[in-house]
Amino acid sequence: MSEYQIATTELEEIAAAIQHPQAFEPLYKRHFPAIYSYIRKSTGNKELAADLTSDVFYSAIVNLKQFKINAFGIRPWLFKIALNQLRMHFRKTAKAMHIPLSENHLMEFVVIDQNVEANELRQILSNQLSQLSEEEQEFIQLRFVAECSFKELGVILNVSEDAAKMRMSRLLDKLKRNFPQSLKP
Amino acid sequence: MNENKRKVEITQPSEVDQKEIEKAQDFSRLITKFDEAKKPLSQRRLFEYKQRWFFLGIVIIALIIMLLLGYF
Repeated sequence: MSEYQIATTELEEIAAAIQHPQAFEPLYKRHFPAIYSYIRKSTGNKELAADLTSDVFYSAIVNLKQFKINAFGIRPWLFKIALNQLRMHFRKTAKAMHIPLSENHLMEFVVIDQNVEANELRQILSNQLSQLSEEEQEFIQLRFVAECSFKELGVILNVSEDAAKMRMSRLLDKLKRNFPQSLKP
Repeated sequence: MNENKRKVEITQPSEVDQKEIEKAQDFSRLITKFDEAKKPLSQRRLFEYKQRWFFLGIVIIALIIMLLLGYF
């Protein structure tokens, strides 16, 4: 099914769910795994992830009338709500936000030979990313943890797809420029 | 740069188990919460009020029974 077909089907489901909340179930079932996984990976806690995901969908069902029709369906909007929930959670608890990165993903952040251990890179990147603004951290998280496409990132951040790509490229350049000198090849 | 810097921890990647997702997924709970919130405030307050007196009643009855049985 193409993105357009999904969006069209979703519009019908959203229209039905505004009338009868029970009709929200197909949307819930379709998007729950992605939203739950995103929150679970960001917090590293099962119970908390279940609660926050439940809050995301509750907020979605309550505010469904405010959903603005777009070509990508409800997914980016749900991620936007999830982002807000996580933002509130981390502000309240002051706990560290998790960003799980595979070794392949790690290499996108650094200009370095393969000899440096992944765990060392993770430690360096943890420090570097802790220096970024919340928006920049969330941008990285949405791209690498939630695996949002640049199209979706554009919708979430209210920018065009190209602007989202440009922003990511600048952010990665900035991180590479600020990479500790002693480890640069 | 933001003044309030949030701590970030780069962790090992891990896939979320399908069973874990299924366990967390509960649409009926969501609908119950939604229906409950839609109830008029007075009705909800009445429910909480009744609930509070119900539990208090149980405690009082338990205390009377214990008193009658000479527990104290």
